[in-house]
Amino acid sequence: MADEIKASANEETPLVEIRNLKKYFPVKTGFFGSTPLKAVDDVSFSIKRGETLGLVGESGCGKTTVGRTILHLYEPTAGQVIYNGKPVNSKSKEEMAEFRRKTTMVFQDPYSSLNPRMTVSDIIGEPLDVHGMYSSKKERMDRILELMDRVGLNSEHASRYAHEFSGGQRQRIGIARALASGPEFIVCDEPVSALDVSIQAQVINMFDELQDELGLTYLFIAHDLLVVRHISDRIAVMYLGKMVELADAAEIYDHPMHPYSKSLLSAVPIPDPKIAHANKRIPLQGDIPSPLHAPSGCPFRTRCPFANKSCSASMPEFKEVKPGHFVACHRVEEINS
Amino acid sequence: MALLEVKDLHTSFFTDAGEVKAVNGVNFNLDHGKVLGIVGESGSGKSVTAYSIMQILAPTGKIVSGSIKLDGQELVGAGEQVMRNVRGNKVSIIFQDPMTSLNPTLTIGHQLMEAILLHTDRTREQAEARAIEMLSLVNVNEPAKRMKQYPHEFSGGMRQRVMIAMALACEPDILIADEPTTALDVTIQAQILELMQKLQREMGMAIIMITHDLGVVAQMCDEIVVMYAGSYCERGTADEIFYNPRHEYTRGLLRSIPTLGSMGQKLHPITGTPIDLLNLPEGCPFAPRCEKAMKICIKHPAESMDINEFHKASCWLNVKDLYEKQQSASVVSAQEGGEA
Repeated sequence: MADEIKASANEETPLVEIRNLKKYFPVKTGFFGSTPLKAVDDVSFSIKRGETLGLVGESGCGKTTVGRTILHLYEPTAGQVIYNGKPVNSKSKEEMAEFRRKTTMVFQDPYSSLNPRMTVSDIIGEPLDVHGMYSSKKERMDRILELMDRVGLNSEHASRYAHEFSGGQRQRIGIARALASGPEFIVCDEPVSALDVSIQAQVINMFDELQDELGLTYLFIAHDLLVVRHISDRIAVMYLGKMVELADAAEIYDHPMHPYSKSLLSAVPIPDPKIAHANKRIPLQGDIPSPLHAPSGCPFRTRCPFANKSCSASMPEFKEVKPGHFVACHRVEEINS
Repeated sequence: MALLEVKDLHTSFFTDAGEVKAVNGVNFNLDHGKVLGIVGESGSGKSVTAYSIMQILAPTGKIVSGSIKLDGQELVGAGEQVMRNVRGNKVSIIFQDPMTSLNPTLTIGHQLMEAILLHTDRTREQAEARAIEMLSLVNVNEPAKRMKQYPHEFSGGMRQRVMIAMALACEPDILIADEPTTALDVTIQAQILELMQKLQREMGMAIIMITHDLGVVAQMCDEIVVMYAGSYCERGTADEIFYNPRHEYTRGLLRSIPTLGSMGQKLHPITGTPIDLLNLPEGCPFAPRCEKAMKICIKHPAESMDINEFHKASCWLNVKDLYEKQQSASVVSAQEGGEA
């Protein structure tokens, strides 16, 4: 009975929730001084169990930092990460070990994220070693072979080194390593951007299948917006360390409400000549400002066609405009009416 | 006459491990003012094709056979003297990575003027004026001030604009763009592609667009060449390639990319892994990954066949289709003959 209540409570509470998360990096300016680089500035969202949240934005917008800060690979400057209803406490060794076992990451570059001096079995087995998840050598090896099989690698190749594999196969090794500790939550940081088009689809399908089989929850970070749309249930858009929009995947593509999301989505080249020629792009002027000298108020105001005085005065609140559709823009009602 | 005619081009790299056949018999024509896309994955030979046209291959690389004619002039085997006149003057190239293709120790103005002074009879003052004019043409703000700055003071998108200004300063007939927007963010990519389209309309040059991004190709190109493992699979107008693909690799590629409508569905990946260029198979290079491969595909490479006026493809399946059509047609005509 108690278990049932607990289980239903689990379904209600999001698996991962972040509240007002901030991550500043000190950057030296001159001899004595340093200014904080606000890589992630006051970001809040939650991810339900079994859901895929896509996180998009251009380089330097802080999407990778969000992923790493959630996993406590970076210690947050401020704010909270709540995992499974409990705030993550980096002070407690046991709690952190448990958290690290349940959460993991798949990296972008399958060339630099695998140790060239380790065999595939040692790479995949390392999380098992770290968490002491076996009682005999045979059990360890069996588990490694099972993982290799699961991601479609030939188990005969267990004693080979990473450089003997192609990019797609290396990414499979990275995924097998991520799965080794039996995680619930995986941060996928641009996991297919380094792969060839024909290989991307294989890996994307594998993420889909693993989610169905193992009930995984993903934070899927990517700059390829068609890939993100394909795999995500909901999508969040970031700009200069701030979250500007969050909604269901279909909703955000069909009815983007923030002027930045509108431009970003209209800029995606569609692989279909007729649609591509008919597509009305909303061009953006200029470049992203340096995060060291972020504009006052709304970070997007320097490139926004709708910016007025109120935009430079204060940061707009990230508020629910429609059910499940959050936007941070002072003029969202005017623009979208 | 086509502006550029590439016929049966073969380019190899002679490495310690053996001969790497990077380009194996590529054919295409490019007319004045057209945009041609060369699409393929890494190792498909699309960049090597471009470098062969410019003859800027690495020292181990060599054009083994074939012909490249620019305005009727044969470039294969032409001397360095001829090529110097071609490069920058008639054909220029911009590269993928604007971070590394500019010299970090020289000002932007110096680098821009160098290209102009080398290829034209302009004086320094005239060259400077031309450089400023080019910078404003590619929408760089305050061009006179920017001339004195160094590459590190420019953002990625701005650097690519400078590269385009440099490439177009001598008004070439052909601009080769080798993955010009791959290193850039989507909104900056949109700016650069729009700029290239605008300049192409104004200056009337032809563009060879080399990319792996089918979205970029769909937006930019009049004609498309699809390459796989150094061979060309098919070539045709953009509409023909996207809506009537006649090579299994092109079909697989188009099926495997996520589209606006593919949400919640499984993608159809191409199985297997890309091919090793050191050990090319006897037959069609795509046969080991092709779901519809026949015996002949493994033994013999397919020859190029006209699908229609705007479309050529090298795939045995087209020959099979044609044969089956003729068979059924002859059966029908035989029956009709019998009835009469």
